[in-house]
Amino acid sequence: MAKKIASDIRFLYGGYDPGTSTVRASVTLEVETLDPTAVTDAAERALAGNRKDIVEWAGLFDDAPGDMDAAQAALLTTGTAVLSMLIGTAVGDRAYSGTAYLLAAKAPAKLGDLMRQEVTFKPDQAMGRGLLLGHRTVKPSGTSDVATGTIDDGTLSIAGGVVYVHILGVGGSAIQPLAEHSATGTTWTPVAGVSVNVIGSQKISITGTVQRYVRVELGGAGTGTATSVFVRG
Amino acid sequence: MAKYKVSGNSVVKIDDALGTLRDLSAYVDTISALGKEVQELDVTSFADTAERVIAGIETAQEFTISGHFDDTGTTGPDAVLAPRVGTLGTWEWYPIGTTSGRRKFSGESLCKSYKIGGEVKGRVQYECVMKQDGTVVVGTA
Repeated sequence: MAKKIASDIRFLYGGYDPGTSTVRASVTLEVETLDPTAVTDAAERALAGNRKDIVEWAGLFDDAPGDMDAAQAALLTTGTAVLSMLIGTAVGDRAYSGTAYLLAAKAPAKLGDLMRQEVTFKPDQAMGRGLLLGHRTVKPSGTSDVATGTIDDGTLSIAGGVVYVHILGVGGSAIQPLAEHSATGTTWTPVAGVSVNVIGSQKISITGTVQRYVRVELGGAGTGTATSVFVRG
Repeated sequence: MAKYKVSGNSVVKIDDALGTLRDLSAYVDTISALGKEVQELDVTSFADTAERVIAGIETAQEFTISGHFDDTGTTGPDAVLAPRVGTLGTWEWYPIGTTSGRRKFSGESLCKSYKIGGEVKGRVQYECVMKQDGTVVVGTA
């Protein structure tokens, strides 16, 4: 376990990765505050209302196809996409994921400076606290596993979970992310999956019991690339 | 009586989501002014030549703790504070340490928000805002 520096942050929205443009990024988990103070109270009271999380991104303006300006042109107000802020790039590193609207994109300019961009996202419901998954790659040609990518949460849970998948590249035919779990780390049970051949994002929902160990098998004959985060319910 | 530096002395403890009090001092570098505060009620009348006040009920102050992000499980700031958003829990603040007899503030608070972020060339950091619920106890360690 470790402290992290800014270069450990990776910000993904849908199939967009503005890594080389990101200057500042943050996720805020927040609730509304309600005041239930009555005349009989000797001090003000506080109660939690609804969650009202917010995610902000600021960076350098870049017109590359996979960068933030392309994301805002394609997705601003059109609907939600998966949003993840990773704090580290190793399997098991902390990540915050959810689905969010891209609400605002602005480009401030200042003489003598680089062109910049500021983007605000609004999560649809709450952002989830999760872990970065790796991908176990199994190809129909029989190539053996090249990565395990298992995360270990220490114990099972009973409130389900979500695997958030960012498909960052496609090639040939579809890739098939398949979520699997295990009580032992050696015998695996497939849970749910998708088949994808376009850049974008997917949510794989898991209901009920989720075992201690979780991983994603990246099947299919395509050569696409993806990044996945698992959030327990 | 003496003056005290913060480093090596100040202690802050916050309940985790399961109600276990966790010492976060190793992960905090800033805590906003935190103590006890009452509301001020104006009772000035025509007969007064200066403003008059009486104390009202205690104010539900907000306080912020912040520091470097750390993903240590169970006892680290991310493990303790992120799951606390939207819940009530106990806090204890020892401005000059936990030596017996030194000042201690404590109470219950609602975790309003937990923010994680970073800026280029800097560290990843967290900031947690708490809102007091009910009275603050001014006591000693």
